[in-house]
Amino acid sequence: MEWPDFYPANCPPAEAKPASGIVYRLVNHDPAQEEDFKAPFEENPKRFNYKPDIKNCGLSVQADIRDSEQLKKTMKMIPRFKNSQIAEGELNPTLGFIKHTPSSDYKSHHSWWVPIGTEPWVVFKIISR
Amino acid sequence: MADILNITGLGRLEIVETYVYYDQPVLFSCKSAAGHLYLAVAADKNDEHETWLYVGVSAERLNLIRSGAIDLHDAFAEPEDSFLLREIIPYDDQTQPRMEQIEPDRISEDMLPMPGECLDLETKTLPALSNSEEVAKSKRQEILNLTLNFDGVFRTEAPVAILGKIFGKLQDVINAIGMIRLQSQKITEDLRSKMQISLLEVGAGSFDIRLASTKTVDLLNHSDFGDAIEEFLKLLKAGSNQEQLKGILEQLRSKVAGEYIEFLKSLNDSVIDTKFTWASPNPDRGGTAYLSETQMQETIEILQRFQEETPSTFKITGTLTGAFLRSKRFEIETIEETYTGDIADEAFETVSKATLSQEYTATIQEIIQRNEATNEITKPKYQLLSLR
Repeated sequence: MEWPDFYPANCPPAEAKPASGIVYRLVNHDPAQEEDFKAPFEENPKRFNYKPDIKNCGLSVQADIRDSEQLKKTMKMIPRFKNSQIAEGELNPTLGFIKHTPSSDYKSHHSWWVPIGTEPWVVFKIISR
Repeated sequence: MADILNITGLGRLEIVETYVYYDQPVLFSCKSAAGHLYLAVAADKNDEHETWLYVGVSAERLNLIRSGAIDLHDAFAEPEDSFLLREIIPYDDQTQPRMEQIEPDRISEDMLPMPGECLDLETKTLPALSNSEEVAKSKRQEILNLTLNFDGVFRTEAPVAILGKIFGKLQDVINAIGMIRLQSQKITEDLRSKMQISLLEVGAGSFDIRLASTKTVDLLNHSDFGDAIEEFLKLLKAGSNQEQLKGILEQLRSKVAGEYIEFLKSLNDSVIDTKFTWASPNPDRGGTAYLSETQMQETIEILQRFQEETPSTFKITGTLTGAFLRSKRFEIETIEETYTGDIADEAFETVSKATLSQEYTATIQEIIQRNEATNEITKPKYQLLSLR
């Protein structure tokens, strides 16, 4: 599996597991596009002073549909996501590694590290606007 | 997550708390090296750049936002500093990020959280408050700080009974001023609610007490309580200056003088000196006054003399419950008080034709006298000047 050049040495972390299962993600296009799956550092390294780390190289996904209510709340609270949509996709090990990284609001939050040469957007479809 | 951000124009910011994380912190509070707090949100992104909004917040206001008392929309749309900071970070390598100050009404609604969306984090403790002006501004309440220097007390403790007396007398003075300002003959529920003082906190150091108006100011940063505090501060600032005191009290009537005397006595019984600081959400209002023990004693003397020399007249509305023509005495009951006293010659005819148990509006003169034996001020005596 080949990782983007900007990934730091310890990324993905050793505790991450091969990607699998159904997950949910906020996307800005219908159908989902490549831009919807760019890690924050890849999208705008200046924001991070050109310093990549495990977190800014990963993507957020939820593994439980029950967290979709919280996703809708996020869409209302964060102006950047006002026009986002919730997409559902089934991951498989060719799509990288994931790690359970829950928060108080997102119990099923996972961080996902996507290798180069894959097209994760093709496995996602919009389920809620 | 980058716990440290280097933001153009703001420098090194440390993330204090992340409220929403999605790919990265997208709603969070952060602190500058100088200790200034900001709330930040991911506002927008397009093909060329992403936009972030930062709003400076006091610790007190941040607590209100965390607990949901202020919604996220208003947190950005109604900033304490009356402006926001907008950071634009272009995607292309050649263009540097830029930070600009912007007035909230120039921010598109699309770039603000939706109205009504709130955080609901449990906020157990308030952080130390930096100063009264910040508290007044963020809470939109009038703030009155009292520093009491108790005689013989060297710890930051205070006798509850004395404090209770001082607080009670302070409220009485403010109510009396409020009655004059609002042209009310009695302390109505409305007046009581407008003039109500709440204890906000007790600070360290000397015995510092932070009080606040229970009501908030209106959109123009005005409150009736603020008007009353303004008059109260004038009295305090006049100290024991006879001319200034007379000038103020000629407008405020003797009831205020009486309540102010009682307040000063409550202080003078146990406090060596005291300092008052008023902070208002209105930047044009506020001030500080200091009273020493000597000033308090002198002021009490001057006010008592003033009351003796200047009988005040006022109107009451109540039921005529007694009219004793032979002794020229009257009794009128209002909701709050029963007034008894002499009937003046000019009112005698009207009273002689008046009907008992009927409601009248009476003009009363209040006369203050001194007991020659004890040199103490006696209870006020009333004279009925007219009855309608």
